[in-house]
Amino acid sequence: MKRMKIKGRENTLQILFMLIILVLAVVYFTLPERTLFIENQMKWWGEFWDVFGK
Amino acid sequence: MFIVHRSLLIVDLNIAAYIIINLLLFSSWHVILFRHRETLSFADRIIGVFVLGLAQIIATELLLGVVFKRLFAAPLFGVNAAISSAVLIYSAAAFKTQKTRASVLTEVADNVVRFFNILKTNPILLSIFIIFSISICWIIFLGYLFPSYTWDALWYHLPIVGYIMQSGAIREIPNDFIISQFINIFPKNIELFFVWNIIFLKSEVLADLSQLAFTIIGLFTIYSMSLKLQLKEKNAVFAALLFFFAPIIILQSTTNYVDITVSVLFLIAVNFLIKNNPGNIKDRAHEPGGGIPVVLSGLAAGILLGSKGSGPLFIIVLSAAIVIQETIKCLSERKTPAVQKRRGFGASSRLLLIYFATPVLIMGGYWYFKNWALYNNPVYPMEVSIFNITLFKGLYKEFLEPAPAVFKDLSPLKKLLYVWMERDEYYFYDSRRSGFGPLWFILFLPALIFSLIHAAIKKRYGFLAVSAILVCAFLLYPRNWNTRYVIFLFGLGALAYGYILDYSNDKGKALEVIAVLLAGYTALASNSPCVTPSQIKKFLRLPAGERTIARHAPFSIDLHARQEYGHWIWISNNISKGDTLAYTFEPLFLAPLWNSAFSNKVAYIKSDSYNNWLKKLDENNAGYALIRRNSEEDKWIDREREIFSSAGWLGGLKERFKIVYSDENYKIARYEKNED
Repeated sequence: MKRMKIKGRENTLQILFMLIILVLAVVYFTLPERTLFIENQMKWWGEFWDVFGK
Repeated sequence: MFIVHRSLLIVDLNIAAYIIINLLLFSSWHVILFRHRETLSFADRIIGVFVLGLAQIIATELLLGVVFKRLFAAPLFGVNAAISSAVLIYSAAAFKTQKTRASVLTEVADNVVRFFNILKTNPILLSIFIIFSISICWIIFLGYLFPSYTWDALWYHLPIVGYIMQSGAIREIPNDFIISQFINIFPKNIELFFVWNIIFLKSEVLADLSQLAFTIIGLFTIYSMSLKLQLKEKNAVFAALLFFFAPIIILQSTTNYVDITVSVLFLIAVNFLIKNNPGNIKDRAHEPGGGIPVVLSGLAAGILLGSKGSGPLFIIVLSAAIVIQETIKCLSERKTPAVQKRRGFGASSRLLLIYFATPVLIMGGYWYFKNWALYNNPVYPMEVSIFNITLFKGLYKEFLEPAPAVFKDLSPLKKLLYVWMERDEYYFYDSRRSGFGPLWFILFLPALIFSLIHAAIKKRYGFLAVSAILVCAFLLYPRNWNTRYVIFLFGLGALAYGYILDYSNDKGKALEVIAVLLAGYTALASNSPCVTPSQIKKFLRLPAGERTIARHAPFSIDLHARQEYGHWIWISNNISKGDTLAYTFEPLFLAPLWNSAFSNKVAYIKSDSYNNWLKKLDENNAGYALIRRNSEEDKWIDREREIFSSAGWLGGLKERFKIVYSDENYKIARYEKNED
């Protein structure tokens, strides 16, 4: 019984941890500045493709 | 044809000398540490070899540069070859059997096989390792292709190298400009490592990869710390590999900065203070051969002390950690039998003083004692005050560089969150408002909080002690929002992630998937705006000798340096070994005044009168003078050339200056000493 209780608590903690990670990921990737950042990186890789890929 | 063959032979000899001395130096320490395999794990011995090798490099350069003023390639090679040969013979002779000698080599192979077996069992770990390996190859390629292009490298890190190499001495330079003062007072241990990577090769081509060595050793350190904190080996490898995926680490690995170096040395020092089951940090000193890890910790801390002006802060934190552990140990020993009690606080403190403090002072103390002797302040030009009492007078009380304007009304916590959320539109090697990447904010930060709570509940004092040391250093560090100053905190995040994986057992798959996705994202998104694909293509087509800073024109300096490119190119093409270039104004950067082998000399030569100036040019054996157009010197040279052209036909007059380069802003004149 005690082991099951500990197991259940561990599961809850793990779900809570995953939820926090999910929230932080959403916060990080939906910042307005992220669009500009990703645009810049896309530009860099676009140029890379133009220079070396074609 | 013969000349081409001869120059190729010389280049080959330079490369051979560099490889031979490095192999000899590091293998000798590897063999000697192999004898202590009972005390040190394989990973610890790899880190130890690096620390001992680096310490030998710095110590021999200090000896040759400070004492003998003969810091040139041949004496440096000779001294190190002699020391390493002696170490190698001594340690090899101690091996009693052929079998033991063979096991030095087979051990490396066994560990490589074991590592790949771990990778084979986990496809996600294998994926991270593949991304890591590709990134490392890319970093080496970029480091090889491009010259050192970063602001501080051109401003003072490389000029320090230039001044040492041109004189063969480590000494003060005239305080002509503000930057000269900083060149004089900065601790220079890592610049000596840059010298090591230039002096034999006669080229700076590998110097900007110096920090990559620290990055890789940083991975070994996180791995070793994880194992000592009793994480599973697979999770230790996870933590170690993820330590690489901070944009600031990826970008700085190709620069002549010292930030990765400082943080990795700090992590190494902490690592060697941890026992395998670290309830108490210092216990190692009492074991047979147990002083070795503490000595290695002291050496790493000493090299760190001599690498950056903030070094004393790390030493204070490490010393405090040791003293606190000593006190705890001493209090707990009160309950033990009298025989054990005899060790007591005094005895163990003495041990630590010998094992830890002595190497710290030997490896890092010189720069501070020198500053104390010359400027009456060991950390000159910074003023040191405690409770409004000035201990050492200096010129500045705080950072000269202003903080970003956006931080003006932010609390310290908000500043941290601002930087960790990364609101910048690109990553940059000096990372003012970003640099830890998404791994830190999304995965490591919550992992750190969870792991600390869990460790406190489960009384895992080892993890808590390591966290306390790293968090204390982080909290005490001025401007800790600047990620490049506190890369060690990212290391703690990696450890915490390994801890959480351990806790999650078989349910950690989701965490592993998130980690590989974020690592892949970081590897793809850590492109420097200073290195564009067009520049890569351009440089691939250029001959090696023409891959210079002026042709690179990196975004970081371009706006300020455009008008300098012309004469920088001329200097790199025409100033050769032994030439002395005299300059007559404060240049934007000093580094481009040396050629890529740092084999010429530079000297600031200015005077109020023409005759005096000529006299100084003669005294310095100047062959070229770099002058600003319309400057006093320009007028003097023009006047002399006018006289020569109008009266030269008389004969007997020799033209002293011949303009060899000229643009809108600068001229370079070849100067020929007038024997009469």
